[in-house]
Amino acid sequence: MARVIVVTSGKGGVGKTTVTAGLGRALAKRGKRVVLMDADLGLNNLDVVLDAESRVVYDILDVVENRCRPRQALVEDLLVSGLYILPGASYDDGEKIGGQNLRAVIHALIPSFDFIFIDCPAGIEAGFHRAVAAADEALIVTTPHVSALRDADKVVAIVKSYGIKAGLVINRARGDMILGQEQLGCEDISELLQLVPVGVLPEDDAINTYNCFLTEENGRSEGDEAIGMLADNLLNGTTKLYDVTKKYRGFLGGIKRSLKRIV
Amino acid sequence: MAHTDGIKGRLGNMFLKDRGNVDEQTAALVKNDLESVLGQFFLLRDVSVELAPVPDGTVEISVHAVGRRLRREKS
Repeated sequence: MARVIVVTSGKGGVGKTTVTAGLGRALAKRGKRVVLMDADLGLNNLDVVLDAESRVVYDILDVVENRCRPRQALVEDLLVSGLYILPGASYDDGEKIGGQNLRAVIHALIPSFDFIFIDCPAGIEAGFHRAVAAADEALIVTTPHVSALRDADKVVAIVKSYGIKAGLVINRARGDMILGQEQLGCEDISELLQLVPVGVLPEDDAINTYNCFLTEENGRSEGDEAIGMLADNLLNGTTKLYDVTKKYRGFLGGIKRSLKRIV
Repeated sequence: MAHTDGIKGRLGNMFLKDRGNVDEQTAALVKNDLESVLGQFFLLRDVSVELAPVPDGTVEISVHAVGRRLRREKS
């Protein structure tokens, strides 16, 4: 029976889709069967992030309107077997897709998969409520920036009002700035939002280049290691977090921090 | 004082103010949807939705609406 987890944030652009895609790949690499459902109608991007947009035949609207069965709409990831995307519709027809519709689609998929992630749209309007209402758990993604944290706090309150267990994922954390007390660290953010952190992901140029985690088979980037730890935490119920500051500590670390300021 | 201390204080103040507004926003969302549905059957005069958190964790939802039935025109 699948765990149904909504990935949300409030603020747009903090990395919900990228984290959803990366987490899906990491869990599928660990032998799990995963579906990533794009609930961001109109501004759907999950297929693009996973390089699958040219292979989309049906989307969530086709499923809801019974033009196809849910499994017919699934697109398998080319890099990692066991990972599937249920693409979002290219236009927002919120009248046809309500929380109950999403829930019905999910119910059809639950018996065959281990995880179903719902990539939630930004904001706290109808699309957000539609996605959250269909889920049993939530991952709230934020960056350490003030505007993202403010929006995340609003989302936390609403998600808790649905009675859903939520975990915190901090994305784009800068270890050099945290050590220099220029950016809030994981403990501060966790305390402010009153949420248990389940993942910390560093600012990673590899993600900026390739738009997704785990695009190389050996997963060499720091982001790949961090997303793997997040996947392990979800699987095992642990809270082991990637230390974004480790490479900036000590004598050599101090030099790296100084160089980062100059360059 | 570290830069992050200032950020924490600023966020703390924002959160206090914002957390009180979440129920208002949810009530506004419910009210819009309700007006849309009821408006198909009634000419509405007065619609209000209020959410009042109760100490045991539940929410008391109060809905009030008054309207005149829409009459079908006789063909």
